[in-house]
Amino acid sequence: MSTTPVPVGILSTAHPHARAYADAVRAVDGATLVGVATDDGDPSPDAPVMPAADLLERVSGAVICSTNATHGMWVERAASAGVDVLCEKPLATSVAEASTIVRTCDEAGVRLGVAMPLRFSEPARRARAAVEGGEIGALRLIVGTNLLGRPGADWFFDPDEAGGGAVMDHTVHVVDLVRWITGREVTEVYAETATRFHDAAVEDVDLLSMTLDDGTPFTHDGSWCQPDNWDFWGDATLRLVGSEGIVEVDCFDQTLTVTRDGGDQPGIESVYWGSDVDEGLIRDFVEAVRDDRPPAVTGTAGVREVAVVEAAYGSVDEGAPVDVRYPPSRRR
Amino acid sequence: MLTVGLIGAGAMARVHAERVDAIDGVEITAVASPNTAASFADAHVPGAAVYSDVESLCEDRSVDVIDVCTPTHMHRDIVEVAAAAGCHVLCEKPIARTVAGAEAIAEAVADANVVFMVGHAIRFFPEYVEAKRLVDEGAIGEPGVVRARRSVSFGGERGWQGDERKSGGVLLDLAVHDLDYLRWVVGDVERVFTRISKWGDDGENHASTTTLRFENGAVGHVESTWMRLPTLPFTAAFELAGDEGLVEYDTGEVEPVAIRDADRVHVPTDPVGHDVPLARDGYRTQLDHFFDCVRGDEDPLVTVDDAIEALRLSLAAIESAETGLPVAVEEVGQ
Repeated sequence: MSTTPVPVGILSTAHPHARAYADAVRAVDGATLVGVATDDGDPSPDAPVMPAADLLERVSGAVICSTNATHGMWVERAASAGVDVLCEKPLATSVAEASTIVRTCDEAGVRLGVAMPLRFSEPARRARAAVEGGEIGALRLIVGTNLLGRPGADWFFDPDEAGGGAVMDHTVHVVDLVRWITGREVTEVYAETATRFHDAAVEDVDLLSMTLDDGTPFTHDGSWCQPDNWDFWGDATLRLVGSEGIVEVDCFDQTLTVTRDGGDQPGIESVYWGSDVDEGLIRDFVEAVRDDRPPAVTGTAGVREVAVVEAAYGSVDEGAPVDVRYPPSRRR
Repeated sequence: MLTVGLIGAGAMARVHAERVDAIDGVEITAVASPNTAASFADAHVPGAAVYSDVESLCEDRSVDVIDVCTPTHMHRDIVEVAAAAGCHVLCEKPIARTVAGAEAIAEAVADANVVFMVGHAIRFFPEYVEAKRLVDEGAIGEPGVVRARRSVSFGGERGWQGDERKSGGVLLDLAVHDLDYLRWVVGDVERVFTRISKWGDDGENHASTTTLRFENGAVGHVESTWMRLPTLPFTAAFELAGDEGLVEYDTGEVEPVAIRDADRVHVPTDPVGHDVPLARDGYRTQLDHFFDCVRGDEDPLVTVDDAIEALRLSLAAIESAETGLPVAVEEVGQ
């Protein structure tokens, strides 16, 4: 085991997760945060700011926290510098672009991961173990939610930068979780979308009714519908109904209830004290870079999850359920 | 004194009998059921006359009200007999098994000019009433995404509910509660899309999920499950999200009294039992309201058209689950 910390940089700080990932890089043993390259003048993580070319010369791994539309550009730069990549989700705004990203990394010989922190949720891990252990029999119905209030940056409302609204932003976390827990792929998607909560050019209602490849119904609500004054940022939940029982997961239901009479934010707030999922994500990526192994969620998974998003938009266009069209899988 | 003839001797008949017993000025004077009317009356309505069916009851004696607590597929014939006898009718949900049956009921009660209401009971459950009031007051602004779910478990014989020709399965017998409620809160529904899993002996376990598109553009989700898993507590929950707020409810988070001893952990959640700690539960409030309607003091909170629309929502969901396609609600039964 190497004693030299893995040098990590953050490419773009457009995505609000940049700050949490910077904190996680600092917190993880065996990693060091070299700096951030910003493209929007907002170096929110407290770290040295430097041009991307300089940063990429000094790091072995890069975490891309850009807008959805520029993931490909950043991956290209990192890959051509020989730097392994952890890319914010969704991997891209189309299957074609996501596939290009995977090919770029394959050809450059760099590792590619997609940021799916829920894989490192301890409640989700217990749920997966219960399902894998046969505790609830055969799966019969899955209902997920990944609700949010207002996204953390204005570009999420810009179709050019975000590639879409809540469907693009808040579908893939729970789809990834379900793929991981069940080992199944989504085969069909019916979507109900709407713009009901924000003055926006994109949809903020993301309600999907899907089937897995064994026929199990799977619905997911990823709407940006929670009030600004809600006591928490949102949620990530799954209810897995099996032939012999039910597993329910609420990934962030480990909170203190804090009520403040004064200060900047009077009112009730829930403060999370469960295990830090971002640290789990970054630790896995750092170990993948150090040990030259695939990260937990690879680009191939990222492509398949973007395919589900693409099918959801296809369903909206057709007003009917549509089959998910996966590109032929490539093997490394 | 209002006199009531109770039709049926099952679980809902017991729920009604126990509550009517506490209402002043109303008395169940007769019970009709094919085989078990006498034993039911002995246990729950001592002194009531017993009959094998509604026809013999109505021929033999005069009652003001017929309270229909029978399997769904029998509602039509019973309501037609009761209305022809000039009785006001309270009928368990759903109104009927088919749109044709429901329309026949609507015609019969209109012709007889009697008070008629379908027992969409959760419209009287205080948590649901309060949430509706808050939405009407503008607490959440314009509704955007509304979700409701309901899960019940069973242990012994399934009886008529297990026969989909009689009950319509989970999408009619159970989902109709939440479909009616969301329509009451948000408005008419344009289309539904439903998926369902059935498994076990005779496909007795049902787990379903329905998406709704309301005419005002809001979107909804209804999850309804019944399964043979006696350890599973009754659960019901809803989240009503609008552009200015959110109302949430979950039976799993309501624990006003809990009893824990060596044998059990008991947290009352099942509204059909008497154990939910309310001075007057929703079933009692529903009965009080209906008797006020009979006296001419109030108008039925659930109109016959409401009950038919709730039925059509469930039938649309069943059709969608069978075809795999979204179904326009207004086309159901046309």
